[in-house]
Amino acid sequence: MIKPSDGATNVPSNLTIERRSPERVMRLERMGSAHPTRLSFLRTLLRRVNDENWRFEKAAWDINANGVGHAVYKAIGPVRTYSLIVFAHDLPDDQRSDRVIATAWDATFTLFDGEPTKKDIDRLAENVPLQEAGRIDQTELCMGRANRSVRLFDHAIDHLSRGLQPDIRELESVGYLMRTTAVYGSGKFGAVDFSLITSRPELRPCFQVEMLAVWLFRSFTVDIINHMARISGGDKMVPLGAQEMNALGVGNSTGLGMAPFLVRHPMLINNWLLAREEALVRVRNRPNLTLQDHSNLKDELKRAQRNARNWISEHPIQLQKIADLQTDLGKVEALLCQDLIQNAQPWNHVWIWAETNLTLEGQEAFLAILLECNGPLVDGLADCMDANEHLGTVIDGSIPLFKIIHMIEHQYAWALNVDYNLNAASARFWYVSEEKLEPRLGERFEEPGQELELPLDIGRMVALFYSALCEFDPAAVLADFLRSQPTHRYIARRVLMMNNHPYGEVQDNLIDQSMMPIDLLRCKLSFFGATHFDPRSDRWVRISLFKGQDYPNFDHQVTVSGSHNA
Amino acid sequence: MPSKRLSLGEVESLSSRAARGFGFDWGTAEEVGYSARILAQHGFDSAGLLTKYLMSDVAMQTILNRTSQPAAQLGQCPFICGIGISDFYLTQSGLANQPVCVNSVRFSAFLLPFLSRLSTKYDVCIKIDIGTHLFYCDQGLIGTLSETEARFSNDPNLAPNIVLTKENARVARITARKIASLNVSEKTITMLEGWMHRTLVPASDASRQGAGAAGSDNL
Repeated sequence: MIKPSDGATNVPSNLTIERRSPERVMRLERMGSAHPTRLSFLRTLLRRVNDENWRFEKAAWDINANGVGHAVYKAIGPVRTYSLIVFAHDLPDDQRSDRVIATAWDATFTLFDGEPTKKDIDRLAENVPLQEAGRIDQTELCMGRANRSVRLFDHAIDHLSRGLQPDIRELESVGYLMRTTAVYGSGKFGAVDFSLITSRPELRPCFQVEMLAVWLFRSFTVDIINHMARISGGDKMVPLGAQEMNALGVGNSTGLGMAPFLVRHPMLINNWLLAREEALVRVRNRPNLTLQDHSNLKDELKRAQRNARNWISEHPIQLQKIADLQTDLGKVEALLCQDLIQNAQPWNHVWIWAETNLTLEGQEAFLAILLECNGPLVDGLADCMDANEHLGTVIDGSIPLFKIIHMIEHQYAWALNVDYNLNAASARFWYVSEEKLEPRLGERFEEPGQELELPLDIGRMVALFYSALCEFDPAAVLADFLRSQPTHRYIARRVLMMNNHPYGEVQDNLIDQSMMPIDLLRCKLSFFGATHFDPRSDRWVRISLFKGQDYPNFDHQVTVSGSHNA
Repeated sequence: MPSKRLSLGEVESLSSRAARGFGFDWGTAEEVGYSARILAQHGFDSAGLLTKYLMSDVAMQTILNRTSQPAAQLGQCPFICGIGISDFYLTQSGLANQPVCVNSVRFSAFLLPFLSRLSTKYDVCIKIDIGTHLFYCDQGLIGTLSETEARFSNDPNLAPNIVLTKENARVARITARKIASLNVSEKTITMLEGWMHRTLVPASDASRQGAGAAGSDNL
């Protein structure tokens, strides 16, 4: 549990304003309006490499005229070196698919723990391009793959090879040259378990491995485009310019497979949300707002407005959200024209104003702006965002049932207020598809398979547990109950775990007919630092990572034709 | 024999899903996964042992009659026994308050992870007396007091009768072997995957609909 003194400097000593309640924060509609903040994992990575003066090297570039071969990028920290090994492929257009069932990609990569030998590269060349069909080892930290944005890739090569920069509007509208379609981390396909490397400070709090891999991969996307332009244009070619590079991140396609993550890792999610909410309440409790603060707020607002203008989506819900956001940021602009400094508790004043006057989309964007202007106050909270999930797995069976009943009534009122006998309230079921071992969402009354339902219907399971508890001997303890009714073991463990993890539970019915998985996806991706959230349906989304952020500053590189040091 | 090196996460996930596919409820299947992971971390072929367990009479009897112990001649299920020890730990009759004797447990190595987790959660040391040797669980580690003492082997029947005692004070530093991944035979993996596949829903047009990008989404 985060205490006000955790991980920060200059925390107000008397926090009179309290955090937003889980009942407000953990609703799908608000989670589906989440924005990245300076606590997002890619921002944590960028702060660390900057603060610790990490060095970066392009150690190998062995890619031929057809764009086939491998490249190695080294990130050298104060204690350890990590190497991204990218395998570039010549993929026919008709084989390019972002679906998880795809078997070939434009590029595949792995983050290696240390500096790979030729033998390592040879081993990885036989496995990484196969992705799920290959095996990696304990020296590998993650594995991923990516496909080109065909439209932008061709456009960029065409222009660069003729000595011209690509159209900046095209770059802005797509936002990436390549998009990852999966990045597999901890323990997957033979990679090292995160639990075995979690003691390394540079890999905390979480997803730092994946963020580092994707950040280095962003440099590869620029290098490969320069390389191909050089092949095509020879001496006429110019490398991609700095402004153009800045407009590009790494895209990502994320589908249903990621949606259950938020439900399956309640302790971790609690710590993410709790850190963000603690950050907000620290800002709201600040006693004064200086002229410099006022200026910073205006600068961050401009950045947010620019981001909103460049945010392109065709999804009707997202289009409305973007329009709302632009309107809301206009209201914030008007607010910042006022004299805010004279207010008592000025930061809380503007927050209360935002809650009253802005849509959820605008409120969450404003939260990100407030945090952005208060780095020293909130950045240390990033250290509180991981979790040892195995610690919560032991069930204390000595707890009397009346206490469990009270816990449920207190923590899960939202779940008890749903009538799951209504078809609409139980319309969906989560399951794992045989095709690719990925979670999917089925229609309970239209599709087969509900007998194989995953335990993600938390609200319904809690309601059934509660009902069974109420009919049991009230003098009994939980161990007696579970010995008699073991099918409730899964949800009993969860209820106990959530007793001291108030932000761990999504407080909505995840099998309701109106539930939209993209809300879960957006919440998780915002903690990664994703921008330009672009739903392609209610079940999958495209986003951009690192767009507008710095590139690694390579102080050594092998010859990459046409490239220049970012 | 062909084998594959599995990460601890893969051991846990495969074991848990196999247990679910075999017929255990989700909560107990989780316990199986935790146990397989912890044993694997200590160098024990937990995946192989789990396969033997799932093929045994005691496992089948446990599934058929989950709320009572299998017939006496079959011996006790290690997971149901471990769950009982763990869930009742703080109760008046639990291990926190008095030694616990466990009789006729089959595949009893699977008891050890429950004790390992208790030692972490309650910050206690637990002594495991199997008659010929003493083991200890402390701060999550399962081990012995000396390098020279025998460690538990791949024998699924660690001992027929075990006495568990919560130590009143920390013992000397225990020696435990810990590994990062487990070499598992292809045969074992195939067996576990067979049970795991019972949890999967065959692909259909509906399962593919809108789940992710389609081939025509190449911007």
